[in-house]
Amino acid sequence: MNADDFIEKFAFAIEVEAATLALDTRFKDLPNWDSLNTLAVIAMADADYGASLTGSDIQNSQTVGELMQVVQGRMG
Amino acid sequence: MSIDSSAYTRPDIFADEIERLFAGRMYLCSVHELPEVDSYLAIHLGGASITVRHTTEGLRAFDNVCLHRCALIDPEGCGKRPFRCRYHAWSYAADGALHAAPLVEVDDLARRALQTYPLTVVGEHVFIGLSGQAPAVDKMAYAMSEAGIPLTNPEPFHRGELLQQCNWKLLVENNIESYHLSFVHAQSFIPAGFVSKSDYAWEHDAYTCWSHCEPTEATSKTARLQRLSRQSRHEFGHIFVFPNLFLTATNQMVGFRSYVLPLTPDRTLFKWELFELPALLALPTPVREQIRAESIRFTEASLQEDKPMVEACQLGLSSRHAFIQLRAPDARIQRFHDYYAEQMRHAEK
Repeated sequence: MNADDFIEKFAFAIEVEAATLALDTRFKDLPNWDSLNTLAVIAMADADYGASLTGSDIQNSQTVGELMQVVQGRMG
Repeated sequence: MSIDSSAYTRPDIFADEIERLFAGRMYLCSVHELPEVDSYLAIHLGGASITVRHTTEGLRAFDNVCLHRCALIDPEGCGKRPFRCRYHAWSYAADGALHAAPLVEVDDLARRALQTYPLTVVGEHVFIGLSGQAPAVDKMAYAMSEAGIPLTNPEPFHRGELLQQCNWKLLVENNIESYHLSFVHAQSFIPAGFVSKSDYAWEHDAYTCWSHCEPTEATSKTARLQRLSRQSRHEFGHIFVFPNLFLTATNQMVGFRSYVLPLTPDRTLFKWELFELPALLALPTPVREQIRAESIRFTEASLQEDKPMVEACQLGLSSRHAFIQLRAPDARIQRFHDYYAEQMRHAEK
């Protein structure tokens, strides 16, 4: 997994432009962030990386980079 | 006309309601609560103690009072145990006949069978006819199809109950109107996109009514939900089956079944279950788990928001000058009141 690939998939899941995100973006501060985004990111991690995330994983992660590390750790 | 305010507080009217309304048709439980032979559900309602049992011959309902010394045969609540009184071990057969009574000659007894009651099962929903007539529930399947809820569903993933200090009718009324959403549900319906001004439509037939509530086009999240599941829509479907069953479908993902059991004129047990609808069952496990967790949080928040309001109504209705004025947003409550009055009058003839 590389960072650009993860950011692109993350951005697609939450329907923002990938160029607006970086590893240090605090994603829950994004103006369109809501509970549906949590579901979309869980679905993305499952479909694209085979990684099972929980709502708590997302709640406990502050930045895109932190979440990427969690996904990396869950990949089979 | 609306129901008179005294109907929410008077013990004699409460007793009449149990005899006249709940005796004709009452939702008791889902088949999931009686999964195997010897599972039972025992309740006390008005002057009746009833146990519904999964027998070797299927689901059967009986008086839950032993023919010997009138002890309750099954303790109140759900469980699994032989059909046998706990006091002197008198035991009963699948049809309610006394099977054995230790140290006693059964043939000498004047009464040798428990009173039985007819049940009607619609999908997984079990209704009882305490009047002795099979409860009519033929309208229910149509209402369920209108709300997008299958007749049979998986085992619920969560159950809860809430004791409410109010009359059962207040819980019905609160369940069948969306007028209060913007003023009460800051932690549940409002953030979920459902408010008092949402598009709301409802229909009814003889003893069921059903509604659809959808956010306005500007706030609808249907397009985003459909990225997760094509079967999903941002909507809230609701069914009421008179007198005590409610079913809802949230976003075509999560089903919610709830029902009221009247205990006294001002105390009602509200029981509820959450189950997965087909659109949710088709999603990956981590997404299902998150939606299940979120729906539990939503439901508990919503019920806690409603509780002080219905209990405040009960106190208000107990006051000397209580007077109910239903207006246009309360049309579904008006329908409930009309049907209630019709049934109470009908029973007097």
